[in-house]
Amino acid sequence: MSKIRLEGISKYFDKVKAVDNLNLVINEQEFFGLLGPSGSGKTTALRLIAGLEELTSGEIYFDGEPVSQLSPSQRNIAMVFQHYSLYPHMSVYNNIAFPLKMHKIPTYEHVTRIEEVANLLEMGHLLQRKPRELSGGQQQRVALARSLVRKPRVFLMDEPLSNLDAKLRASMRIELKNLHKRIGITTIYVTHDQVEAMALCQRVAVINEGKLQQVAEPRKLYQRPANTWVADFIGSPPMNLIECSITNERGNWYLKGNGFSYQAEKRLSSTLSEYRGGKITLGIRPESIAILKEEAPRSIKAQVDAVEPLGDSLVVHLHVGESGVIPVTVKSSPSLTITPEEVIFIQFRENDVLLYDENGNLIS
Amino acid sequence: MKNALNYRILLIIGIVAVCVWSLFPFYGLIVTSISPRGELPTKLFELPSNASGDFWYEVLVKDPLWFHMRNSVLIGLLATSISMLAAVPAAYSISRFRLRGKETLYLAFLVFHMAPWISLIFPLFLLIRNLGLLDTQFGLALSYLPWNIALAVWLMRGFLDVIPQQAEEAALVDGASPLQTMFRVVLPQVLPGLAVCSMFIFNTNIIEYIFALTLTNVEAVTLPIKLSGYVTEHIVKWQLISAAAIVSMIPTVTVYLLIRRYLVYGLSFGMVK
Repeated sequence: MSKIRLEGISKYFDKVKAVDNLNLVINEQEFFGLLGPSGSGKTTALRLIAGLEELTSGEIYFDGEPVSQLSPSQRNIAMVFQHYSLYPHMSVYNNIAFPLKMHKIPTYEHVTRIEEVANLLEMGHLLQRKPRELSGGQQQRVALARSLVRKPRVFLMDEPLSNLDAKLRASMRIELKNLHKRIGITTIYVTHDQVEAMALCQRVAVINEGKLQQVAEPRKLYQRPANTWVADFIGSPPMNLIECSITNERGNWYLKGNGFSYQAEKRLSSTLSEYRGGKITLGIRPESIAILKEEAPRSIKAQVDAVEPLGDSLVVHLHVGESGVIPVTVKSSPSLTITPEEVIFIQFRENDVLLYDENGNLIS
Repeated sequence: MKNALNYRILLIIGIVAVCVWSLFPFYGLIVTSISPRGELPTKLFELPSNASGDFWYEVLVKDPLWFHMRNSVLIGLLATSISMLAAVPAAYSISRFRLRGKETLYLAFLVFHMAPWISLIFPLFLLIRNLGLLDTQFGLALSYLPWNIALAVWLMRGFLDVIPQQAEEAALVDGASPLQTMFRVVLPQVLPGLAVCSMFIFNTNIIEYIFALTLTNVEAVTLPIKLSGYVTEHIVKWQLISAAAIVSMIPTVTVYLLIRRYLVYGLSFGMVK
């Protein structure tokens, strides 16, 4: 049960910066997510915390104590690997007992401890089997049990659910969340799956190309992405990002781009005057756009390109703009009847409009 | 249907031919060993007119081979175990760790193990003599180490390379030292490889002739040297050689039977890489 602090940690493989100057604080008992696309450096960051890779620079602290010089075993961590990494020649019982033996915990304690975790994970009947005789989900439980049995300071998980099928993944997600609630060990969870990160974690750090993009609670991550990269990465379908220039006509602020014009709301005025004459990116989530059949005040004319009925919603791909084409995606109620080629009007939900500066950083 | 049958027949003929070809020497040994004095089989598949147990009596009772067999087995076990103890950690390091020049070193082992044995005799003789180990079991065992270790490093690396490494990282996180990881997690997974490698080295060492001839005299004489003693100035005692050769197989066959369980899997193991 530790507080973890990463202070400017970097890891270079030759010239590739896998992790680049990462600063993070993970609170005691927190369920913390590291989210990013594959190759973003999130797994390397986790391996640095585990001690499986050596830092190029920076320092890692567990409860204020630097650990970069300690071996993985001295850090008192437990890790669940993507491929479970069970010991193939040992029975499930011996797999779980291995960390106890290595930490010289007296043998008479083994049985009670192993029974305890086996009951917790409902796998008492599997103890005498070999890993190859187990299904993926069962191997996953063994890997979890092995890491739990020692009561570590920190729990590290590297995409532990990615090898399971969709249904099992959903149920294991709930189990993991309940497990964390019961045992309260600080947990760092690496995943490329945003749904998993949002569903499980109290806070999520989004990483791309070794650099930290944003740290926030899942809800905030979704509603106010710190930059256009995060905006594009989080959410499916992704956020609409429309490049615009700023103009002021008769006291009203307009965002204009390639034959498209949107009259900005009053609350954005001060920001817009600050960036007057410059380029800006308007961000709006697909579900924050309403589709209207008739023109209404401050609506924008658009033409439908394609319609995807997803059951719970309807994803409409359309384009706006007269001279150029600006693609926009809208997520609407499934009851809407709409056909390709149809000309309609879209209206932004004012409070959900986000603005990004030229460098892609959130300004309003 | 007819083609399949023809194919089967051809296959069976082929298998029988290979078996006859490779088993014939053993048949020859047995027949020769029971031939009476002054009479040797001259035709293929000819059985002796009156079989004799005299030569078997000589190698088992009158002038038994047990002393030499003890030497051979002792030297074989000594050389094999020392080689494996040195070579397995070496192969593990080459397989797993980032070391400067490790591929060159590995290539050196490979090339060295191809060197003709006769080229090593002179330097090894000087070395063993200066150590005062001429005509000792330990001295002869030592002389086998260079070749053994080169072979074992080369073979074991092949076996270790195909073992997935993830379990080792798990072991490190679970609190094992690198040495514990090797012994408790890695080696149990390459038991077949260990078996093949040890078996091969053991067998090569106990049938070795040139080193044994050069480095031993009385006390540490091994089976092959004893057998060569049956070739005398006036007569080659073929019956004795044959009976003794069959007796000489006992250690290897025993070892084979003991580790057979791992061996069959091990022999095909490296090939599925």
